[in-house]
Amino acid sequence: MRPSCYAPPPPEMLFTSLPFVILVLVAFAIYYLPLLRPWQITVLTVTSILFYSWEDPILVFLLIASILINVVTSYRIAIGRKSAQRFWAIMGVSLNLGLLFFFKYGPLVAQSLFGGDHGSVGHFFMSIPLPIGISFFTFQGISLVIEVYRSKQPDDPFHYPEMVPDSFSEHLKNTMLFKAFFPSLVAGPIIKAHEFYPQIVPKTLAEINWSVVFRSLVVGYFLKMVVADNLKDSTFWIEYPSFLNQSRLTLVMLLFGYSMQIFADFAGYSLIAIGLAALFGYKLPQNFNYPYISRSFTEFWQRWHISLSTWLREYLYIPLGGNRKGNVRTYVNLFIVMFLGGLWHGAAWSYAVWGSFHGLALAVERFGGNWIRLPKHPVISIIQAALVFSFVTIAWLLFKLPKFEHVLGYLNAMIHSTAPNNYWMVGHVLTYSAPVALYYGWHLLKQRCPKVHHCEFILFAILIAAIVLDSGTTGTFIYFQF
Amino acid sequence: MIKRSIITALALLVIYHLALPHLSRAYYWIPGQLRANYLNAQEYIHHPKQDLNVMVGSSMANELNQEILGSQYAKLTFPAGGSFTGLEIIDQTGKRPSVILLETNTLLKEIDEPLLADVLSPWRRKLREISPIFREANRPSNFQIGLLDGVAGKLRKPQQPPAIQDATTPVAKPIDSTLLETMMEVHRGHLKKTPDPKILAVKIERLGALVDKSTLAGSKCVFFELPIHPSLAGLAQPVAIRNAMAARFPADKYHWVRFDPNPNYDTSDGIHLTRPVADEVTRKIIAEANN
Repeated sequence: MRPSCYAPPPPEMLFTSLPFVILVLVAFAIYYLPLLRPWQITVLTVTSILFYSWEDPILVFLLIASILINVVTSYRIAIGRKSAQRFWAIMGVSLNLGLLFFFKYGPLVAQSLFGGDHGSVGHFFMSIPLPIGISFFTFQGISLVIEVYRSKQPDDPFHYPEMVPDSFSEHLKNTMLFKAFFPSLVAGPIIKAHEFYPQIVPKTLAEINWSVVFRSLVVGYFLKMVVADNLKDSTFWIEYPSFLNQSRLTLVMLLFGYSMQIFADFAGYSLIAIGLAALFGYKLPQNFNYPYISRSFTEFWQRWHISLSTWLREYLYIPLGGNRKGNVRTYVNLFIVMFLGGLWHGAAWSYAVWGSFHGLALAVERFGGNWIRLPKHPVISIIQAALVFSFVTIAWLLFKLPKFEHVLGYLNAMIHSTAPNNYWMVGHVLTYSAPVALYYGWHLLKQRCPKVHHCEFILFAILIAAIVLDSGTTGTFIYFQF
Repeated sequence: MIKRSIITALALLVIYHLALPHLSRAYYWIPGQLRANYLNAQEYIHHPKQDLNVMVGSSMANELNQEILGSQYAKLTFPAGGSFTGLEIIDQTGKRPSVILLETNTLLKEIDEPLLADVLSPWRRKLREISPIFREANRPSNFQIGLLDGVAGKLRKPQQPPAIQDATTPVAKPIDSTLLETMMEVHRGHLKKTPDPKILAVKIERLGALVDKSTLAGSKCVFFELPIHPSLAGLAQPVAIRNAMAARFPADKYHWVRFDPNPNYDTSDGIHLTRPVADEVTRKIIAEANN
């Protein structure tokens, strides 16, 4: 062996990495072996645990703790005494939230209370790593507890299917898969218990929907590796103070590029997750439905991160009263839900401001909708979509620049900068944003002219060639940090 | 549909492979420093000459003029990175440059792991040897972005200076005084922090091992600390690195190119030299390295 001072670190376990591809191929080969069919759940769970523990094995204990909380509490709700059901439901939700709060918000609170000096409580909390995917698998756990509780109520309006078997060990096995299912483990889509448990049945190769697998994986990897990973090479200039030396046009284009990047990154991830789940016979919910053509903020949230917005609607907005308690209460509920939805993204005030911005926009829009009725006309629709897109894009700055003064500085530079235009950067952003526009255009074209379906193979061939020839340098998925 | 897509994709790759040598480079462009880092590393790795001279460093050394260095030098100078990335590439590829010019300013910078993983990956290297279409230099988007920039160039006002040819060429240009002060403040905040002595010791030790190994293999290592704004040069971090380097690599045993710390070197942001000064510095380094 050649002596060297440099020992390369183990490769990361990202959806775009070689170790991940090998893991999936090996798991796939074992999973569908007829002899091992009775152990399919175990094969998938072990694969998921391997995937999760690859870089930081200690985090598996947290995942297992979270699984146990949900297994025990949901089992007690389903099987235990009727009088104790409410207790176990509250216990389940509280423990889930407690875990999330400790790891995600503990450092912020402790630092605010005790400071961050060496040896202080704040420093101790700050040194605890944020477990990847905790926000996602915690929300899935809460959905299990609440849905099992609701299904046991005599006036259950939701008609949830039976999710908890009599056997504790079987429930444990099912729940381990539900919580640890690797395609959706670290960044969703957040699948609800009633959507997942009925799918836990033996699978065969013949049942695989190869069309869904192929389409989701090709488009997902294209959006992530070609669009998002390349756009990040330009959008890193949004950092402070780098953006101060850019022209107005460049700054506008960079922000536009970041908006495209964040969509391509997250929608790409979600599509890959959907494709991978389909490979193993599971159906994950759609997470993105062309959000940038939304004509209102309400529509935007029906199209963007759908699994989170439906989760918030079902488990927060409706329990708060939804729109059933008058206009003012509806506005307040919308604001609260979006404020908390913002904080779900991260323990920083910038996320709270981002959520509040959207909450306020939803409330204002609802208020305006009560008074103003716009005529239905294509031009008006385009103007509406452009306005929503612009506001949403400006709000993404809060994701990129955590300090509020830097956000204001960026917006100020967008108006007052006198720096010369950086045309290659504009060209770069346009080049890699164009596929997103085409992605939307293709969707609209297919709606109006279904015959284009026949030439789709050319489009997919181009996407595959682009993945091979023009992928960017590997970048972590933006939503992993949440 | 799946089969047809895959076959068509393979056909597209073959067509691109055949068409690549005939594509016009009139509007060719390497967009961005990060992409340029990959391109430079790949160009060096796949260069047939095993003893090609190398300059290793960060964005600061990247400002030095390739034209003055000449074709016998490759620049493994990586913006957002440091000298170790270049040194590891030399070491891992087994190449033995006759001369290694080594910038010492950014020794505390970490190795660019994703870049090394990409350019040193055996199967990727093999693919890039089989067909140039897999190299950074030949991405389809380089032509597309170049074309867009070319169109924009035609629309530009004639009195504006011509754009630089690509992002591998240094981009340092004068900025207004308010922005300069902001950038200086950012650098000041960074450079005034005393580095952890343990970390610095590890870095120096690693550098020593790499330099000694290269020297034993016949390379001449020449160190240089690039001049920066005088108000930054005396801050804790540069001083600590300077002292540690002087102790481990004394001038009577190792080759050094020294710059007078007193003159007020013209920089674009406090640490990156402007073009005329960078050219002057490049000439001095080359002259002393060839001595």
